[in-house]
Amino acid sequence: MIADNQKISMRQAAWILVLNILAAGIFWLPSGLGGLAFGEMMLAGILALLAVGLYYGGAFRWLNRPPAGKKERRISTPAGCILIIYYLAALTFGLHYFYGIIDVLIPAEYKYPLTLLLLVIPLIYGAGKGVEVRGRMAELTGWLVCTPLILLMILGFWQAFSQGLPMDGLFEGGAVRTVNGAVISGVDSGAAAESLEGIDASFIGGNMAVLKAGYGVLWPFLLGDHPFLLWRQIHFSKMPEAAEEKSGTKKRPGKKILFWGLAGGGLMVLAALALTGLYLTPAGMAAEKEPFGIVLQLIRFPGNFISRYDVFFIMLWMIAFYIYAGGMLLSMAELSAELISAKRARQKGGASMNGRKDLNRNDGNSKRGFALVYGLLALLLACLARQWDWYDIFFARWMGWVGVPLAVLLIFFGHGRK
Amino acid sequence: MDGQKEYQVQACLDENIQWISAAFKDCDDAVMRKIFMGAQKLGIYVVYMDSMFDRALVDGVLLKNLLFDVGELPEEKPGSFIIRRCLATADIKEETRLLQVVDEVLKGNTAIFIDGMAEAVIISSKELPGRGVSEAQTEVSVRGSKESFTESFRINTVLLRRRIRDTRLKTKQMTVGVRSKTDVAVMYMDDLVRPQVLGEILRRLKSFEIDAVADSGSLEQLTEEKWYSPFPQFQETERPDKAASALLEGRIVLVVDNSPTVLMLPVSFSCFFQASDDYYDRWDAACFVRLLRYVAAGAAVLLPGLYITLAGFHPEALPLSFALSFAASREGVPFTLPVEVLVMEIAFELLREAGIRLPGPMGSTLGIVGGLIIGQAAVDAHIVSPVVVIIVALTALSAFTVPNDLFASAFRMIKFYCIVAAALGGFVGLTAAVLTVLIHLAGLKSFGVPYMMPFASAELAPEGRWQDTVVKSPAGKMYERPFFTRRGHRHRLRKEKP
Repeated sequence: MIADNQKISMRQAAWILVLNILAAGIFWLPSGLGGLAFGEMMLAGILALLAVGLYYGGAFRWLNRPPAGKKERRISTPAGCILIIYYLAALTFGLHYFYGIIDVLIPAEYKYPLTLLLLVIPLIYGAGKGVEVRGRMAELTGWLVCTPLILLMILGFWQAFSQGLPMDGLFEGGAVRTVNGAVISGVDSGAAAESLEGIDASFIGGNMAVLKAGYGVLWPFLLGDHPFLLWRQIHFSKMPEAAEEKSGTKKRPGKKILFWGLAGGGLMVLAALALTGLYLTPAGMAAEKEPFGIVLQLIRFPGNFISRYDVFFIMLWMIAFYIYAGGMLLSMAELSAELISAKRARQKGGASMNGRKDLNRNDGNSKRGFALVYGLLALLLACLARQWDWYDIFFARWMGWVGVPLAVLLIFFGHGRK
Repeated sequence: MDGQKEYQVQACLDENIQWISAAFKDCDDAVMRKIFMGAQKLGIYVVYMDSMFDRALVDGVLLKNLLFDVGELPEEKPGSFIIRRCLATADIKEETRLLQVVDEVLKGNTAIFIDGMAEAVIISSKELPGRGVSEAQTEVSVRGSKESFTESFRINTVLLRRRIRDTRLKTKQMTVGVRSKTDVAVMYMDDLVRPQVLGEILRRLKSFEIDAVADSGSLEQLTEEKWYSPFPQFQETERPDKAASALLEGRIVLVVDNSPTVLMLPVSFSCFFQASDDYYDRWDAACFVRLLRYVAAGAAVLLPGLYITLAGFHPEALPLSFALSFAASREGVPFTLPVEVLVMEIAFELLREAGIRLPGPMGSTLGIVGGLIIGQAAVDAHIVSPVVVIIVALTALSAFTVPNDLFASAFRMIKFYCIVAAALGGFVGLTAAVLTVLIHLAGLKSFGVPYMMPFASAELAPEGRWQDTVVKSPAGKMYERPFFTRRGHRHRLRKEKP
C-alpha cells in the first residue's frame, strides 16, 4: 500500500538521531563534565558531539560506498550475535540510568521495578511494531519533545541574562546558589571540595581532563542506533511512492541526516550544557549528580501556574529516552529474527533469502516475540544489577572500553555479503 | 440445467406467475395482479410491493396506459411494442433472472411479466417512506449549508451529485448483506482517487458475507483493518458539503442505504479536527478554533491524569497557594485521589449516556440536574472535592469541542487509560500511557495512509501538507490538495497574481 515499505525516511532518521543525542546527552554531558570551567566544559561538549559526528559520519560515508560486486551488505552471524549481547548490556544500563534520573530528580514514590516496567512496556510494544512505526514515533515525539525544550532554553537564557550572569564564585558554604541567590540544595561541602581538587583550572589542563574523561562522556551517545542498522533502514528518496516506481536511486545523502541530527540534538545538548554552566558554578556542578535537573527547577515560566517544571521536562526526556532505548530493543529483535530467518533459509537451501525483508514483512510475530523476551530480560537484568554495587563501574567500563569499540569495528568488518 | 431454467423468466406467463407467487407466498405486502390489455387480451402480470412504489407513476400513468390506452397490439413481439410504445418512462430495464426480478421488486420497483416474452420489465418506481432532507443535527454549521443526509440512498447520492456536477464523479453501486441486500454506493472522483485505495475498499466490501448491514457504522466495523483500535479508521459525516469536499480531495465516500451518515476514507488524525465552518469562516478565526480543538483534545485525554499526578505525586510542582488550595478542597473526602476522579468521571459518563437516550427536553433537564444538583450535592457531602468537579467539567467540555463524536469517544476511552496509568505510576505512568497511545497512532493506517500524516510520514505529500492541519491557510493560499489525492493531481487552485 501507500506507506508500507518498512523503511524510515531521511527526516525520520534525522529525528531519531536528534532524540538519541538528547536522551543520551542532555543529562549525561552536564554531569559528566561537572567541575570544569565554563569554556572548557563547552569545548568538551563540542568535542564530544564532534566525535559523535565522526562516528556516524564516517560510518555513513563508508556504508554509502557500494560494496564489491554490488551486493547488499548484511550482518554476519557472529557479528549479529555480538551486537545482540552489546545491546542487551546497553539496554540494561539504559534502564538503570533511566531510573537514576527519575530517582534523583523527581523521587516521589517511584519504585524501581514499576518505573522500569512502565518504560519497558512501551518499548516492547513499539519494538514489536517495527522500524516504520519507530520512524513515525521519532517524528511525532520529536516535535513534542523539542518544542517545549527550545522554549525552556530560550526562557532559561533570557532569565539568566536578564538577572545577570555570575560566572563564578557562587559556591559558598556547602550549597549551590543560583543566579536568584536562592540556596537550592544542600551539598556535602567536603565532597564538593574533593571533586574540585582534581580539577585543573587552566584551559589546557581542563581540556586534558576532558580528554581523560571524554571517552566516558562520549560513549552513551553511541548506544542508541548502530549506524549499520540505521543506515539500511533508511529510504533514500523524498517520496517512497516515487522510489517504488523508479528503481535505483543510489545517491544516499547521509550528510543531511547527520547535519540535521547534530544541528538539532547537538545544539540543544550544548544549550543545556551552557545553561548548566551559567546557573551553577563548576563546584556546584561537580557536587550535583544531575546538575541540569537543578537548572530545570530554576527556570521560571511566566504565569506562575506551575512552580517547578522539571517534572514535565523529565517526562519529555523520558519520551526521548524511549526512542533511544527503543533503538536498542528493536535492533536486538530485528537482528535475532534476521539471524533466524537467514538460518532457516540456509537450511531450506534458499540462496536468495533477504533476512531483513522477510523479517519486516513476514516475521512480525517472531519480532514481537523477541522484543518481549529481550525487553523482559533487560528488565530482569536491570533489577538484578540494582543489587550489585559494582554495577555502574562494570557497565561503564564494559560499554566504554569494550562494547563501543566492538560496535564501531562491526560497522566495517562485521558484515557478510548477500 | 433444470435448476437454471427454473430461475429464468419463461415465455409462458403462467409459469412465471407460479414461480413469483411461490416466492411471495405469505408476503401480504406484495401486490401481484394479472391483467389483460389490448384488443387481443394479452396477459401481463404486474408485481410490486405495497407502499414502496410511486403510486402516481404506476397506477396513474403506467397501468392506465396499459389498460385503457392500448388498442391493437402487433401479432409479432407484442412485448417489444409495449416496452417501446406503452411505458411512459425512460427508466426501465429488462431482466431475465427471476431472483433478480424479486430483488428489484423488494427494492420498490415494479416488475411486469408479459405473456410470450422471456424477460421481465423492471420499471424504476421506488418511492420509499422516509423523511426528507432535514437540518444537520450533530454537525451544526453557523454559516454553511444546513442540509444533512437522510436514510434514503438515492437522496444521499443526489445531494452529492448536486454539489459536484462532473462526470468524473463516479459511483460504483453494489449490494451488501445476503438478506438485507443493502445498497452501497462507492463514490469517488475518477482522476483524483488513489487506485490502491479504491481497489482496497472494493476488495474489502466483497470480502465478507453477512445477513444484514443495518447502518454505515456496521459496514465500517466490517471493513476496518484494526478492529481493536479506539480510533475510527473511517470518517463519518451527515453533511453533504463535507462529503463533497472529501470527494474533491481524492477521498472515497461510501453511501449506505438506510443510514443518515456517509463514510469517508482514507482518513487521518487531523481530519477529525476539521469542521465545515472552518472553510466558510475567516481563516484567522478558523485557525484559532482549530488550535483550540487540538488543545482541547489534549486536555480531554490528559487533564484528569495530570491532576492525579500533580496533586498525588508531585504537589511540589504546583505553586504553594495552589497546592494548599488543592489540599484544602480534599479535606473530608474519604476516597483516594484516583478513586475520586474515577467516580466523578463515571458519574459524568452516566449522565451523558442517560442524556442521549432521553428525549431532547428531558435530556437537557437531566444535564442540569446532573451537573448542578448532583455535582453540588456530591461536593457538599464531601464525596468529591470541588477541584475534581472542575476538572471533570473541563475535561467533558474539551471532549465536546472535537467535531467528530466517534473520535471524541476514543478520547474518552483513552482518558480512563491515562487515569489508571497516572494512578499507578504518576508522571512516569502517564508518560508511558501517552507513549503507548502514540505508538498505536504511529502504527495505525487508514487504507494505507498513515493516520498521523502529516505530523509523521510527511514526505508522502511534500507540498501543502500544513495548509489544513493544526492551522488552516486562507482559501486563496491553499494551492494543493491534501495527501489523499493521487500523485500528479494535487494542484487544486490556479489563480492570477493580483
